[in-house]
Amino acid sequence: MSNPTTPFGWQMPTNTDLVTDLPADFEVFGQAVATSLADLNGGTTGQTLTKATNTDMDFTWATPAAGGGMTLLTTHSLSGSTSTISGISGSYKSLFGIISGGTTTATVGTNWKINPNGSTTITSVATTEAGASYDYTSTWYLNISNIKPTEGNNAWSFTIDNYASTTSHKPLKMSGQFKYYDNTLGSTNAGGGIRTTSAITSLDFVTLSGSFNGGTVLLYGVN
Amino acid sequence: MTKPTIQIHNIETGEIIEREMNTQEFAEYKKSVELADDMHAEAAEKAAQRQLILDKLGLTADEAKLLLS
Repeated sequence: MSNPTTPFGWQMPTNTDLVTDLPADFEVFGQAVATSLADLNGGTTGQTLTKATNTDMDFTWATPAAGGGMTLLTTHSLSGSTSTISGISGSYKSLFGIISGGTTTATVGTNWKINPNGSTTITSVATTEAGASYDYTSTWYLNISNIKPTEGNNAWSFTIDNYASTTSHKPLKMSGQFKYYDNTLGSTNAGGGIRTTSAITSLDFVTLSGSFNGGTVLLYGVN
Repeated sequence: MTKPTIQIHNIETGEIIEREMNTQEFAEYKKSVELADDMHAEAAEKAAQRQLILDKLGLTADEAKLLLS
């Protein structure tokens, strides 16, 4: 070992030092070590050590930035022909929703859709459903062909990014699966956007026949 | 005629209102139903045209899918 040490340069006693000098030598050594490690002191539970500057051994304790995560905003029970979630907080980056178990009183197959901010004209969605492609420039349909009103195993999820922006349009995506009126299975994959610079503060879930008599929307805020 | 109902769940206040649609909401709703009817009619028309082409070519829908995949 070199003396002073590499890399810290802590001075240790030398071979020629008198034994009586050792306490003083160790004071020098110990103080050098303590000074080098001084920044490790302090901090609080949960903090992490980060570099304060590019200088060696220059650290500081810092509280980690809050990470991403999902917050359940509501568990909404579908009801009526139009079932609205309003008062959506603008405190998140994205909205993520899961629609499941929806049934209606309709006696025929029907379409469901989502109207952001109650509007029937601001959504463009290109959909692939059961192998066919559709592109609607005003309406966000959950399904294109009529679905079975009593089928409770349908499910969709959707994401609206940048939904709280007051300057930009909002991209959206959706996927789902359901049963058609003739009992065949359908699935959908859709993407598009909401053409408004207003923040999205409400979502209407609409059945175009009958009324919802079952089903839930879990709506999350995502950071 | 009884108008369809609308449920409004304000998740900021927790208030839930369920009521009949007002005239404007009902008009919008009827328009949406009509648009969906048009969408189905258009889809049916496209399906019929597709079948006509398949018949001309002497192909089944599955054979056409295979050809285009």
